[in-house]
Amino acid sequence: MWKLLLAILFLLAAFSPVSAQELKMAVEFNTHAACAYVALDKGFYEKEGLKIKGYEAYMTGVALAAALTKGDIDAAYMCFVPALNAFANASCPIKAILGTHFYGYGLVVDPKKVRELRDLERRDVKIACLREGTAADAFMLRTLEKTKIDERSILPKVLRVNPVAAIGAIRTKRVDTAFLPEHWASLVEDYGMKMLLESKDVWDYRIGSVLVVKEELLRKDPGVVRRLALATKKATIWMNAHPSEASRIVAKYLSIEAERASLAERIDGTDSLDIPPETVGRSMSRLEYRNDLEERQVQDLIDFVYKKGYLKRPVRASEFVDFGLLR
Amino acid sequence: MKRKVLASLPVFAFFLCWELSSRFFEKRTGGLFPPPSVVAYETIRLSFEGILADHFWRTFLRVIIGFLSGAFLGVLLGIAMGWKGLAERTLHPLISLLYPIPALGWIPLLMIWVGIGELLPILVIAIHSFFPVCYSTMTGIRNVDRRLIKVARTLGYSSRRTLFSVAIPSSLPYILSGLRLSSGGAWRVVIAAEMIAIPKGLGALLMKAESLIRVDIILACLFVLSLMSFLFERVFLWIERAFQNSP
Repeated sequence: MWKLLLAILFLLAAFSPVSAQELKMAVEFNTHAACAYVALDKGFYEKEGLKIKGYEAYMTGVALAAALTKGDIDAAYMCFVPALNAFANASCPIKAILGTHFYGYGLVVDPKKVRELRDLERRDVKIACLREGTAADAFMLRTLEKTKIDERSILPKVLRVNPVAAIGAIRTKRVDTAFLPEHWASLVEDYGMKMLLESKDVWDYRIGSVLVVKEELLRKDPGVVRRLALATKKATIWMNAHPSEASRIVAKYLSIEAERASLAERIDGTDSLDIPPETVGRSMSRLEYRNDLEERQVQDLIDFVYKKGYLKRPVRASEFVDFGLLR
Repeated sequence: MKRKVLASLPVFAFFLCWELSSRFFEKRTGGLFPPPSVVAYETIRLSFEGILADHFWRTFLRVIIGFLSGAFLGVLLGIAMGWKGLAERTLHPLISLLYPIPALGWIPLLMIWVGIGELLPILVIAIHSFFPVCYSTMTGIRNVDRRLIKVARTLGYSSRRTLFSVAIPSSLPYILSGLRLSSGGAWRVVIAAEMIAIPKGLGALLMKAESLIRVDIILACLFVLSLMSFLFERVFLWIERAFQNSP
């Protein structure tokens, strides 16, 4: 009898679903992390046997990169450039395993004051941008390079602020134009600003964000990383197939995060910061949600960031991105 | 000579410990705890590439302008309050009310009043420099030996001549010590003011380094700041001593 019981227990153990692997995750608080929000909401992680122990939303990639260096985050959905900074400058042991979107940055302007890009050179036009080392900053530098606007006439007057401070400055007319990541760029359109330029206008291809994991996790438990990548891919496919439902889900998460971080109180003249699904939908339509990463494109972006003096050392694409998992 | 060597031993030991521990834990800490040799290399590299100089000069100019204007006003008002009873009675309550407000506490207000620009750090430094200089000048003027003033008056000096020939020279040690204290502090507050969205200056470079997670550059900036604060205080200390030793 006991032999039968033992056999049943053995069979149960052998064929039981994979035990849930706990992960601590971080995302950027914007539509770049849409696939993470959708995967959370639609249970794609659970279906892959992953349990998200907790997720933290960070205002910018830079803040998230700083948190990554402390080492208590297993996986993060974040902009490529700050992740690369953490890898190259702080020797943060992380690897990018998957792309999450292309594009996702915009130049918003006060249409009464700025009609074309050349207007940025005017002394009375005040410009805001996220801090150096962010993807929005890389977009600004690329825009200046591509449109042959003299960096020296622009950079000294750029106010370096986070997205919430930028919105506050726009609302109080302290700045006339801002280089912002989505969904912030689309959000300020609701405040009368106009999208003058998008990242796809200056970059034929532009890797936006990536899914990064701790190297240790990749080494010790590649199966978990594969399942995480799979859940992300499934979420991306689902989002592209159901854009309006996806925008509702993302809007819900962004509004929760805005409430949690008391963002409305930090923006002058705003009582609440509801992020309507229409705005999120408009923002998401400006991004191309995809998971592929091509080595040459990755290298081009790394070289651009290195050329701008943001990296301590040259980095090979294959050092930072695990193309094996993508294949 | 022996005393100098002994005095420098703790400094040398500190840097040696830092270098060794940083090298030892390099794999674990990555670039978050760079050794002093790396910081020194980065300081030299930034200097040679002109990056440090560009940021440094902007901060330096802000400190000089802010400090001189704040100190000048402080000396003027301090003299008035120390010399004229009426000025003291009317202005002292106001100064006492404003003095406890930390200079950095003015930043949100100044951001609204003057906006984020060159004027913001200059005003913060001026406010920071004004109060200690004003108080020490006032104290200096009030502590001038009354007998000296009586003698001047007996000799027929006018009130103005007594002030310029007797009171101010006698209160110079107080004024100089006020200037010394606030000069070093000016470097401490300028950084905080520059960190708020100002595109150039050592504070801006610090913020840039922070966002790029370049701890070596952060430490290089802190080293420059510490050095400048120290040098400014030393200059005034030297002037103070030179003044005390003068016949």
